[in-house]
Amino acid sequence: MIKENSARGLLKPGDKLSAEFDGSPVTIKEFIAEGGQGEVYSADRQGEPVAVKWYFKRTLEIDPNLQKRLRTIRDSYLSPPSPKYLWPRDLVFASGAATFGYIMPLMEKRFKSLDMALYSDIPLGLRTRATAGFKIVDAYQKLHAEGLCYQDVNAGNVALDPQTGDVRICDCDNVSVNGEPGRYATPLFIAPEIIEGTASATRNTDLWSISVLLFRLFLVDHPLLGTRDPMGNDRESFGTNATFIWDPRDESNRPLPGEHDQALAYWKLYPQLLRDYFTQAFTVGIREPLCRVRETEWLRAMAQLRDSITPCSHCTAENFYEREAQPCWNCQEPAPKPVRLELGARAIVMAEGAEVYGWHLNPVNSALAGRLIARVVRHPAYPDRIGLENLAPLPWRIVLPTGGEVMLDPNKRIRLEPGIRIDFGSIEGRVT
Amino acid sequence: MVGNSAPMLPGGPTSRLPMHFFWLLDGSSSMEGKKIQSLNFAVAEAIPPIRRTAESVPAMRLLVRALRFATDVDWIVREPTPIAELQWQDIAAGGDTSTGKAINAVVDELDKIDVRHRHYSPVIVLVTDGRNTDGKLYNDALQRLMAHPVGRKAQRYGIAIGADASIEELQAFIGNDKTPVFEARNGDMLADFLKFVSVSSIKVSSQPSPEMADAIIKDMATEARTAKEKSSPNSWVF
Repeated sequence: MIKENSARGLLKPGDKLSAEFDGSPVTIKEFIAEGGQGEVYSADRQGEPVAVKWYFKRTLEIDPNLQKRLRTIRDSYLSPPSPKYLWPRDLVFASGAATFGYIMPLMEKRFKSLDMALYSDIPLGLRTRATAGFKIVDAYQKLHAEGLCYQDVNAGNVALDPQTGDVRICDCDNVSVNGEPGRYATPLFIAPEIIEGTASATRNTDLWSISVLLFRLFLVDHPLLGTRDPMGNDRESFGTNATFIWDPRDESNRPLPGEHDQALAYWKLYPQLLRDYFTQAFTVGIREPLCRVRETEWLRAMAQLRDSITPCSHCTAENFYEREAQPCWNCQEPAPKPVRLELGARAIVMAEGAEVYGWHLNPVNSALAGRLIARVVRHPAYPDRIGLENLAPLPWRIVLPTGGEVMLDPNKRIRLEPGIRIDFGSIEGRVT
Repeated sequence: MVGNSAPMLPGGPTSRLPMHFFWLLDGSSSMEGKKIQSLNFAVAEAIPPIRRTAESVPAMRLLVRALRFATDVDWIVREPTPIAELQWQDIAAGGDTSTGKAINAVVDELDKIDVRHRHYSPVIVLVTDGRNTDGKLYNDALQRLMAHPVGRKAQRYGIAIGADASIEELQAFIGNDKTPVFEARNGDMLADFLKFVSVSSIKVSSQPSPEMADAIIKDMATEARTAKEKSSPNSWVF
């Protein structure tokens, strides 16, 4: 009978599996979710909470190299290229079972799949998107640096925390060494040369998929589906003859009003740098894999995006400050020039939630690049006042506009006013 | 984020794509008694798992309609109803088996779907315990469905209740040999099949690639066959 047990799925709570490498017992706790290739369960491995991905039989039939690939991942890479990956730790088997699975870290409940987050009734904020975009690209960059390619980058494999923009990347079972023959990937995200059958998965096809992922993160709609083929019924729409919906030299595939309203509304919102990278990715990037936007470029765009977010003082909608203040996209009120922290050639808009990282202060020192140094906070009693909180381990020397000096200890805040100078140690910042 | 309120963003919330789902339920006289009550139970039981599955496909907005066909067609759920709002009112049985009228009624609804806007292919599940009594009208209606631009791309399923249902007729309605007819010989099987077929159709629609969709249909074929083989004739009530 096609009986669903009360816990749903192929496995039941209490089912006992064993890990291949060390034989340790793994006990299933409960069903979490079903994906295209299998089911995910929470489990216990000798007191440690883990997740188990358990494959459908049909997945094994489509992908006979799966076990071998998982063993390679397990044996070659004891820890993932980045902690954002839910990395397969070991294969698990159950005696008599027709299929098998693997164990990986359990994803915290605060994460939702990108697909879920994009279609939620509460849209993702722009700062959240920029943060998530940065972390996603950073994670893939680290994977590529190890000589690997992910092969199946798509919106179902990426999860994000809608509050903070933190990310997790799941389904790492397609990861393989760059250049090895791969399987198919999700059609909307597959590189044109794979669609046409002229190439297999590599780092460069990952870069294509990453650009589509970022486009969806920021504009929701698909970069190649516009008036010509709004529903994406035609494979040609994704191949090497595809046309970017915002191609500056070809208007034939513009987004269709009523169908692609997100692409229409969001495009003009974003800074020129981001739009230029998307244009590059989906014009020359279609036919020339080597001309695709690389991770360092995306990271630069994401950082600039985050650093330029300015809430409108009238309606609070998030705008971006580039070289000059534009009227708010939402209420059209003219925007005053925002308070910014200038650090050498860079400037960060000092809006609530803005953050200063190690790489802002010292772009060359990669060890401290990811360290959070400071955050802009709102005064609890005076909502009009914003301050900068010292999250670094050492105090800062601050010169006030009057000329007086103060030392700001860690975890303390200074009210942000134009004219203040802050000595961070490696660089001096000026508030303007 | 400025405070915890929902961010103000252009374009409004992302619109989900509709999936139009139809149950065509046989309410003819032969369904009176055990069969119609089992069917009522099966439909009500299927709703929660269908809802859970639909919720796991973020881009989809599942809209359900249901009709009872006997001598005439009665729309039980006439307006496309979001699955979360669907409640099942039991139906009664009595009359002929005007399957042709049922198919025409669905095609009339398919005519209303705006093909310029993206949507998931609709799903039509036909549940019957006999064969049609409308003859030529049935043949014309089936042809109309298969020629319809939306209808011919719809996923079509057939569930046969009992030994007198026409498997050939249901297979012709399905229109391909990859998708099986599910043969329910008791209330348990009927409930399982209705749920399984409905839930699987959502998964088939939402697969990112045709290979994965085909794999699910293949699984459905296996389930239909093994369920039939494993069920003991002692348990056949219909």
